[in-house]
Amino acid sequence: MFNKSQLEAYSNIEAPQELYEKVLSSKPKKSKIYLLPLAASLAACLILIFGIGFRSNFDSEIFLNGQLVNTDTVLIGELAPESKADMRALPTLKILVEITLTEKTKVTVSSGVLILENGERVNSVTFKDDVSFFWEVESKAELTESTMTLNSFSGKQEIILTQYDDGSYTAEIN
Amino acid sequence: MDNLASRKPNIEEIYKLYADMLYRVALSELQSDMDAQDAVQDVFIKYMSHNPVFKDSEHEKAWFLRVTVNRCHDMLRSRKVRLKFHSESETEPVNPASKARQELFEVLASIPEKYKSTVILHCLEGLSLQETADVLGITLSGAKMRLKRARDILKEEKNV
Repeated sequence: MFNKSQLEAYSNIEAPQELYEKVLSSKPKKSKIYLLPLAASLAACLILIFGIGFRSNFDSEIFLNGQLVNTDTVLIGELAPESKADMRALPTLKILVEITLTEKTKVTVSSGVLILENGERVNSVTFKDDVSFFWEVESKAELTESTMTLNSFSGKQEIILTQYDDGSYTAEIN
Repeated sequence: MDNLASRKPNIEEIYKLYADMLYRVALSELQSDMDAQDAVQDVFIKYMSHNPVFKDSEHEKAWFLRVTVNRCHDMLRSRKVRLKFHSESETEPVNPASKARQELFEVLASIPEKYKSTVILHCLEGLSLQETADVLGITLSGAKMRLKRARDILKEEKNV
């Protein structure tokens, strides 16, 4: 498709110096605040109040699409513009989940399915060791929350996956 | 699991690692130096705002490419909307540093937008087809199909 000199010309392209200055002088944007309906806020408060008693030193790391999930909101990805325009093109989000485990843990999702290595599709499954699987959820370009819950002897951990109307989706540990 | 969380690189290190690649991709998509700079700057602002932590450098690279390509597609769409209402030229000419670069941009300009990202990531950036599909959020067969269509279009153009 391209000859050697064209490939060489491409690899010789460098970002201009002015871009470096622009980037270094840029300030991070504050994240958007979405006003959840009152009922959802109340439910979140109840979960926090009652859930805090069950929280523990959950000694595991959870990666969604290779990104470490923690208590800060992390951007997991965005739908490609063509998918945003035509949801039929990508009706589901298929997120790679990788978890390091130190004890027997039950993983349950509030929506979507877990696709295991053997192709089995389940809503809930118990693992004993480090594991990876896919979490497939319906793709929605609107504010939607889905939850993955990890239950073990030492406690419980909830990962909230939020889809936004701009096609992006984030995750955080509740 | 080994991850990058233990030592978070600062923005200067991250810039040095990815800026050239992202600028190449954005310039190839947008064919405009100013727009490409804007796109890449937006990507780094997004990175600084969300402060994501990645499992490894492959995932980090894929994230940067995905966000850049999506930003370029957004800009191309708004450029189309602008063109509907104004009679401005579609692209500002890229100052070609060499004849080869000029030819390269001519080839890229003749590839429909829908297939261009696949060509840029696979043929120019050297990503595998699976990596390209992952970045673009399409299936492997979708990526293969787009590449084939782009090749067919270029072949047809050569024959005309």
